[in-house]
Amino acid sequence: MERVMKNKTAVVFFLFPSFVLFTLIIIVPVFMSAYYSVMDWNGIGAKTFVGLSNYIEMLSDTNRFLPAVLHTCFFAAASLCIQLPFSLLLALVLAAKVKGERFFLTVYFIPVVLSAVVIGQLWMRIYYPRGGLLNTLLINLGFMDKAQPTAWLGDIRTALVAVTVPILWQYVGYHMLLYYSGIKSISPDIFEAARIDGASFWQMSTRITLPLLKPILQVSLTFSVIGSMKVFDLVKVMLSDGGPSGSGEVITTLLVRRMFYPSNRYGYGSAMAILLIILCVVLYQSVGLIFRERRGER
Amino acid sequence: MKTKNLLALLVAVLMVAVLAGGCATDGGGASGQPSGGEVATLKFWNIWGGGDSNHDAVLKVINDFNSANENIKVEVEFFENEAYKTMIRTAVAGDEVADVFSTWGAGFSRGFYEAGKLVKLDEYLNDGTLNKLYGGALSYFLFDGGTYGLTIGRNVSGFFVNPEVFDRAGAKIPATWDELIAASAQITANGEIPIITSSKERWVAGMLFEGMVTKAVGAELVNKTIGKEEGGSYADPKFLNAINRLGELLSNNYINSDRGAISRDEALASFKNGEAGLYYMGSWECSSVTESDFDVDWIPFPTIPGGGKATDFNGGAIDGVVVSSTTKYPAEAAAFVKYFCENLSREGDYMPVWNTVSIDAATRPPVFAKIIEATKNATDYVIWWDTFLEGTDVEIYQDALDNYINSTITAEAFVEELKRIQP
Repeated sequence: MERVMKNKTAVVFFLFPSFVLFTLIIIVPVFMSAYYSVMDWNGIGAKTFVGLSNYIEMLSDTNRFLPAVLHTCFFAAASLCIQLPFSLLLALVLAAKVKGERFFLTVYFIPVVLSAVVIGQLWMRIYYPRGGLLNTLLINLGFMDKAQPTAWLGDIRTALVAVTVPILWQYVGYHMLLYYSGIKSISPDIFEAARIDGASFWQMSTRITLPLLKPILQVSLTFSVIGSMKVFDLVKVMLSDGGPSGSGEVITTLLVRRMFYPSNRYGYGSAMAILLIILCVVLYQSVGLIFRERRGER
Repeated sequence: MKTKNLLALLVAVLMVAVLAGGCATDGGGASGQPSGGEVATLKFWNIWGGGDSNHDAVLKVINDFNSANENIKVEVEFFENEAYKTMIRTAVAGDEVADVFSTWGAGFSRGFYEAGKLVKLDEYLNDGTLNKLYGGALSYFLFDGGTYGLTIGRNVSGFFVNPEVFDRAGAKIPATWDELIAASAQITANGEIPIITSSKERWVAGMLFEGMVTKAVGAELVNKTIGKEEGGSYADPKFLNAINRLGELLSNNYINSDRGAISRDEALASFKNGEAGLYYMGSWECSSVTESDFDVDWIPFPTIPGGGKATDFNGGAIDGVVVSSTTKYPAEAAAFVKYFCENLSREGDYMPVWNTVSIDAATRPPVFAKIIEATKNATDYVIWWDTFLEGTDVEIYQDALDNYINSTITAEAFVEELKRIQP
């Protein structure tokens, strides 16, 4: 292997195909989007150069775009504060040799393999205003007036939270599996030694598992933050056109509506795409930076 | 060594043969005529899929055409309506569209025309086809004097009525605004929903609003205004009046309060289950609403004092079929489009714009005959705004309407937003 790595021609030879593919599939489209983003273009006809006016319009759109950015950040925050800690807790408990470990592992992972459309339909039945599971439950428990059931996905106050729950729920199993496999790869000798020294489950979790799990935490955090930026499918299925008054609109759903039907403004949509790329890169680097600094401290 | 050389030669010959074959096919296609026994295969994309009330009629017309024309074979592909609106533009832009495809006229297809993606059909229509169409039938497919598509028929929107809900509440089916308000109050008092719609899908609630605007403002002024013509203006107080009346229906809960959470399909299902008195939708829904247990009735949007005529309607011959400029067989495609539009007009749920078509009421849902009767003396039509307006204008209109429906802006602010559409 070392001999191959020393041979520059071999390195170039092996890297070249993937470099070409990566350039064609990722780099070129990004530059094309950047080019379109300074154009006024309906996707079919002639393009007119408009400079940065698409960006200016986007960043001064307090009606739809800026709220969409806020909602996207809300998803990221909810994922960080609720989804990841919960997944970690599940993983810690499962890895502590619970009875039926395999069974629970499979059950928690099921939502991850389901398609977003299936999950969307499932949760729409739960939220359905007339006779949906949630409202029926609340009415029977006396928390809701039968004559005025809440339209969870159709109410400005509840739409965003209502769509956040299934998104968090869907990927709990995914992050849990990451943590679980991370914990399982820690040498059991360390735990055994700690146990002999009289450490409790809590002490072992915070002093041994978590510090050794840092690389996995970084991966999971990156996926969660970048995933929140890109969230689209469930929001589209559950809220169609961005929810009431755009109260559940996220960057990607707005991008699609502005870029394709009904607006057909490819230039403006491309500006949003570029901003999304920048946002993702910045967040990715930030997560990396935080963990690097932490490691530095250690 | 010898074998190696032989193999190399064989591969070279094979490659040349493949290349030559490819060129030959291209060359043959460029002539635009299927020669001798060659069959011209036309791909046809459209939106009349399994769930659509015109689906069976579409299949029948295509099968009839295929059996009548030995040298043309039409292969059909169906798409879901909303997804199609996005997909078709991308396909047209990338020159990867079918030979023939369904589309909507006016604003929706203008971009296709401007980019030169449609075949001009005029030369194929001089065989008497134009005489088969009522005057003005093709107006949404005329661009700069050329005809770029044919329409199947006209759609009209109005209220589908469940008379049983009205009977239960002791209410009268409304013909005027006051009667609508009175009936809605009675139905609400009876614990039922007077009007059902979906604002989750914006075009559905938009249709209801546009129906109201036509009656509050008058079709002539609305057409001038959305057409950005001289004399039309959203600043006309009649527009504010229309918006305030929508506000009246909303604030009194005469429109289902869960409108933001249910899709059009769910609103339709609710209506068919007998859960609402009125459901505002296009005439393409006739066959579908007829599946309900009650005898569906139909009324136009009630008249509003000081507004438009009772005979002003919303709708138009906006559904059509066009030929892609990428087709190898424009003549065959045009022949199919002519056959398809005329015959689907006969078989499907469309108000006729072809004078060769006489609708046999006995074979149709009774409510369909009712709509034909009601629109017989139509004075003017306003097309649905989201198909007519383009680009930023649709955004402004739909966002403002959505905000108003969810009470985040006032009626006056709604008008101010609409004024931004004006040039």
